[in-house]
Amino acid sequence: MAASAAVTWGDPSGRAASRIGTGWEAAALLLLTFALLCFGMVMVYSASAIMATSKGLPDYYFVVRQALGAALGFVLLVAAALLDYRRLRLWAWPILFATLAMLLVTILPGTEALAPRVNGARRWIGLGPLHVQPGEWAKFAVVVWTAMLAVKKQDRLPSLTRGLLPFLTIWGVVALLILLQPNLSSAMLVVLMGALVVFAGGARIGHFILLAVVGLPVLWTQVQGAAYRMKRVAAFLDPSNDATGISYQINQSLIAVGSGGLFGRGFGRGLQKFGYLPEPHNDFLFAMIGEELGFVALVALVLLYGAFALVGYRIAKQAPDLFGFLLAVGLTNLIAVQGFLHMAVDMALVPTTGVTLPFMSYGPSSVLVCMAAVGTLMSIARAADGREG
Amino acid sequence: MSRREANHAARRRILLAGILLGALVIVGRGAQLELVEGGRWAARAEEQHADRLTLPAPRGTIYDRNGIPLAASEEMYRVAVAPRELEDAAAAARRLRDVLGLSPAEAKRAVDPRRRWVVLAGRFDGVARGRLEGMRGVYFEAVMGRMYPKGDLAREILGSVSPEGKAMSGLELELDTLLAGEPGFSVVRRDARGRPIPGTMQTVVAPVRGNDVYLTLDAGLQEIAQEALRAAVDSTQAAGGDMVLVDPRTGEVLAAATVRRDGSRQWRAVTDTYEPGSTFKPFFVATLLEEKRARLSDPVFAENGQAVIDGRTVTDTHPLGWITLREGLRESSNITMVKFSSRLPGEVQFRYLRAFGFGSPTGLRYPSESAGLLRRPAHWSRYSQGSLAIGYEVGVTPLQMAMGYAAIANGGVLMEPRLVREVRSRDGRVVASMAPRAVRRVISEPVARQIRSVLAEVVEEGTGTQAALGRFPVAGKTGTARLFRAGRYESGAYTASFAGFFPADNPQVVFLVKLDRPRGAYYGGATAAPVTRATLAAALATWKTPLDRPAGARAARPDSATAPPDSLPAPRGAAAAPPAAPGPFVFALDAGVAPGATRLVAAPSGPRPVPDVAGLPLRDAARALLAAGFRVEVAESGVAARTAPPAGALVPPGTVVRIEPGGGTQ
Repeated sequence: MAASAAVTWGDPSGRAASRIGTGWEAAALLLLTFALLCFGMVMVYSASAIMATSKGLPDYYFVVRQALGAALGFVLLVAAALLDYRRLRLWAWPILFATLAMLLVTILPGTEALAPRVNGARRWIGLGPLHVQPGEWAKFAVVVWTAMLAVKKQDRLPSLTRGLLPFLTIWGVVALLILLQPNLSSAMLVVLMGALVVFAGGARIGHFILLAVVGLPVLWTQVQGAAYRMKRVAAFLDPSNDATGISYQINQSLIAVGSGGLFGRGFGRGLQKFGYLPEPHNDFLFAMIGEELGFVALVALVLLYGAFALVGYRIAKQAPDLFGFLLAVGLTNLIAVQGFLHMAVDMALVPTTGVTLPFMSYGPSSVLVCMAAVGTLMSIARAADGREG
Repeated sequence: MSRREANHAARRRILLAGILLGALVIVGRGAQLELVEGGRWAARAEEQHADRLTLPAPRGTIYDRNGIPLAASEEMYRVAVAPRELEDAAAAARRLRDVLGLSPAEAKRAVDPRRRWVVLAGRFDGVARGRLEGMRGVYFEAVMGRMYPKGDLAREILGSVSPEGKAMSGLELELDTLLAGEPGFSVVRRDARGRPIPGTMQTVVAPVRGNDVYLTLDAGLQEIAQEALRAAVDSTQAAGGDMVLVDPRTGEVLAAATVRRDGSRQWRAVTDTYEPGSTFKPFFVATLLEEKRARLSDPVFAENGQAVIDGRTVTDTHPLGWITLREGLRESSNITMVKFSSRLPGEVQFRYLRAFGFGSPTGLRYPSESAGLLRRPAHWSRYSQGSLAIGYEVGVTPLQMAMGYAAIANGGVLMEPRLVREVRSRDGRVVASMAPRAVRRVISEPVARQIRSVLAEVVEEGTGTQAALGRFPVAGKTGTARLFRAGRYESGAYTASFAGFFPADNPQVVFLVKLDRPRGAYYGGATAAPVTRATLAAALATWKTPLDRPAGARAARPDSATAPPDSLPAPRGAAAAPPAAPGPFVFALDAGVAPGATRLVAAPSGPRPVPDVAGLPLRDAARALLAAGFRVEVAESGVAARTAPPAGALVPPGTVVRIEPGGGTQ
């Protein structure tokens, strides 16, 4: 393991070059990433220009910030790609602790200066011009940590108490902290991302059913705990019930997507972003894309994220070790599953929760995390090439 | 080991299959929403975005007979503020106060960040809009506002238009179908807060402007009449008054003023009735003459001021002995009239009063016009014939009275009153032109002339001398009727009125002045008549159209001298216009000319200085210039600022002096 860790892009032996040539997966990932990033940038502009000007900001305000996030993300991507992913096994705990520390900042009293309350929740930490969203990083941290622990405990995974319980404990702690921000959707995603890794690692399917049975009542109390979540669930169950009331958001999203038709209203010609669609540049970006570019864009997006999933899982298949396999599965899910979840939310297939569209939704933190995931996947692909070559 | 790897591969496939299945579901759902149900969702989107925006049609302009606009439509703006979009609330509040004249409280409310959308009360003109244009967070909506370039001029007659552009009363209401035009509409998309999204407006149907209406009113005369009436109401402390000026030959209403102390703004001259009293007597005498039941020379004993007739006590203000019917009418003897009333069958008396237009609408077509009250003979008491002869037991509108006098002035033919001369479309095409319309001949020409001659004497030597115009033969009759209220006549409350026409022998203008509840000297002659004199004097000075040349020439006929020269308080006179002389015929005050006829300014000698009339109200300015022997032309109504030629210039008498208004008050 240590020997292969020495292999880098800059390998002077010349073997690296040949490996890059044979490994098309990394290049495909990079291509998909750029395609999604650029598409996203354009759509975020369309979605946010009006909002920005109505707040007295220049129309390109959000796009520029997104681009800066992407530029920083590219540095992170290259660094992660050059890094041997196996080092993450050693760094899994530190990364987790750092994430937990950041999450604590967002929930502890007395840190409002660092993490202000925005719309009733404290989800960001402001570090000068940077806004870090620990909830986004938690997904990455949990995937890495879960993959690490799953490798360590692979023989005991089928056991509930000795295998799954430690995972549940840590996920629970992370999810609880995010929940306290409050941010239910991120908390759920963290558990989902972790659970999918453990599932890939061989945990018993029965345990997942059990998890669901135990988890749902917990989730239910959480939903009831916050009035707005209850409303969202009610709205999901019957969107046509009250178009102007609680199901307003999801109805507006459906109107946006539905009115797009085959080719959409045309780029920039959407009308739902004028105050009808909540967060058209973020949680409901897909709805706006559906309105402006229609079914064609929907298919294109599904193909892009589907392709990402195929390439990611192919990298997982070719991973030289179990850690690489689990990490690749987890990070691919982070992109693909989140992407499809976002679309599902916007089309009322699942209850309305705030899920970002990876690479595309506005949010520099989200972009950074996704870029780091791509870089790591490329690192795994490279290692796989090394083993095969 | 290999079993575990196989397990991992299986799990990977399950996960990948799950993701791809999810992708399929997404595509399926997308197809359902966008392709299958697309039309329905698009319709719902349209429903919430699209809004029909009515484009108000500019209302037609109402002009006076000479094309002076009295009511016109102008684009105004409603202003709304989105406080959260303001860059600097304090600065914005200051600006709103500056430009729109908001109170500090209103301005504060307009920029209150707790509000999303504040619509300011009132509407603002293009200038205000221009000054606020480009300010973030301030929005405008165009609406049509009704402007009155001449201020209060004829507002009672014009009526009103609501801020929403709906005709509410008066001519605006009556002529609404002509004036309104057809609103157009455009489709605009609105954002979630209801504001129009820029660049999404499409005009579907352009608005069509309403037609323009030209009235019979003369703005200058109207202003003079309003001023004179207002002054009279003030000086007599009356509760209100009405004045109507009509062209007897065409039935055109030239001016009509209504003043009420309570400030109400309605044209009462067509909606309210009163008991006319003595001004009603000429109709009775005309009936007697037309039916040949009496002659003006018939003698009658006026009982020295008091008589009991049919068990009812009748009194005269001026006790008279043996007189003729002519003198009875001239001196307004109630006893004479009541005595003569027995010579007529009630049916005949009723028929003539109806023929003169009483108790039925005049045909003017004006909202809420009153038909007045004239009971049928079957409902009369034994006193009714006598009462009707002296103008009681009847309710008439001032306009009906004016039209009745117009019939006498017009040789016995009753005309339909008219307020509208012409209707023109926006492109100047005449849509409708209202020709004069005779209703019926009521009395014969000779009888009408006889009545006119008596009425001329009234002004010269009877009860209406205060209406005498010095240089002008005015014919008329005063009336002072006790006010009937709650079933009995109120003591000390009167309606003073004066009705007549001039020039007496060839009438071109019929007037009616009525004052409600004047205090002090309540007799018609003492209150209403001077108003007439003041109005006519000023009116004649500025009048161009109604007193046309041929009429003036006829007015100068020698037979118009109806009174001995030495009996006149002031010398008056007339000189015939040279028959060939073109140009307007202008009357002027002039000293030392033959009485009983109008006179053209021509004679006296030598250039004289133009008096300084700057700062005088138009009426007074015109009078002063006339007194100095000049002819007068008025450029605009309002306050005189300067004249052309200027004050002090030496010009020959008869020169036309033009009065020009000033920019500001002087």
